[in-house]
Amino acid sequence: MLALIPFLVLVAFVVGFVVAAWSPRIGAARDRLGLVMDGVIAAGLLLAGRMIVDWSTVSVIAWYALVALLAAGVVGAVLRWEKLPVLKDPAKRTRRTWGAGITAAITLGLVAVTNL
Amino acid sequence: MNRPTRIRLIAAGAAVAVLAGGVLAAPRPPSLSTTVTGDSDLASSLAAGVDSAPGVRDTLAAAVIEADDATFAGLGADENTEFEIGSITKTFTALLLAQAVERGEVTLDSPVGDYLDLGDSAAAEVTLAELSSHRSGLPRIATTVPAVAASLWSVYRGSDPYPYDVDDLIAHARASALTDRGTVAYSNLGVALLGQALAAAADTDYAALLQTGIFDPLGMTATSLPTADALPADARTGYSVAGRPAEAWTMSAYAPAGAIRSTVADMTVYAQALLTADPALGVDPATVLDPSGETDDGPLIGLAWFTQAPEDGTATWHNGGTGGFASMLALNRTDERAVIVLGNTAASVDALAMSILEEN
Repeated sequence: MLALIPFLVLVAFVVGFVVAAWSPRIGAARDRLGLVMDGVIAAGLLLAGRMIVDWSTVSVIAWYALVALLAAGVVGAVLRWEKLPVLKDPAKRTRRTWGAGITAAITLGLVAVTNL
Repeated sequence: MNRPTRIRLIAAGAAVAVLAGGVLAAPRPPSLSTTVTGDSDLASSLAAGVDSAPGVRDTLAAAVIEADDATFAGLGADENTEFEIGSITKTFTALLLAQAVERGEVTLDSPVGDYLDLGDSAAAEVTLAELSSHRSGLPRIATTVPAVAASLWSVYRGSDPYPYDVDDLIAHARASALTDRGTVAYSNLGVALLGQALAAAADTDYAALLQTGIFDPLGMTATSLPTADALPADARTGYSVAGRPAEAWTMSAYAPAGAIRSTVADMTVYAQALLTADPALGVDPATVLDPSGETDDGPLIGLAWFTQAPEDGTATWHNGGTGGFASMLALNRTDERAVIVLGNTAASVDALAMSILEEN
């Protein structure tokens, strides 16, 4: 059961991105920055999960299912893109930008240390 | 082309790119090789027994060993394929201890502080026999904050968790408290200290001691203890239990606890020497194999070697595991028979080896 935890975390973030991209209300992305960050985290965790998840216990078919979900999320993100503001609250521009930068750096770092 | 159509095409293109990337980057955990080498019956036993422990398999090699004969088999590997034997290395360190006692360089009751600069730390008073039989009270691994952090990092990275030189090892021992000294508690730190203490007593290094004390006399020409620098770039590596590629372990100053690389053929030579009390060992193997100490303080253990409790069987054994390899050497001393199983994934081969020993 313990071995499934990384996989379940991965599922949560990929599904979260799909919801952010497609949901009309609950969990929907409020702006482009949020949508991009949801996608970056989902893709980054998927790449890290490639090395962390026990794919002998969790079938590799689950990997392909997650990739398909990610692709579906990307389609939703592209279609929704024009309808979203860059930032929902421009007053929080500095805080949101810093937060996004740090999150992206952590995600890329995670991908690097697990895959390089 | 109108704008909505262009956006749909972009979305479709992005989706195709994600799917293509996903296919290219798909995880590919190894699966047990179907290429049989050697004895087909033994190979069948290997294939049938791999479900005895969880985790992925890639290649396996094994031998059923008798005093003057051996049967080899493998799946994707043969008796000359190199593996990391992990903690079976501790039995070599124990043998070096027995040899050093025989030469009069040390005694089993010598405190390790006589050979390594452990100052007035608790570890200094621990005897060499206690280190070998895991009764020192030292922790399994170093417990300093940087060492624990480095250990966790190496697990995450699949890298060698022991990049420490002898000074670091001594610092780890100095910083360690002893817990329930006299009770068996497995300690890599303790056996690493033992190996370095023996090397210091012989005024040489551990690798040289191993080469001249065991590898050369037994003719184990395919067995080695490489340093990280000397490890060939194409040295064989394995996989974690989850199927992630794992780096080779050379273990630096901790090498006496688990860094030997060997083959089934060479391990057969080693096992036969133990079963037959080969004079090339320099000592009676009973000095390392026979359980010693109190029997109510945990497992039956000699110098590194474990002996099954009577209700579980009669095997004398030691297993091993590194980031990417697993190993098990089990001896039936009564029948002068042994089994060695080596695998290049970290999935345990203990039950597999025991079942083959019982079958035979």
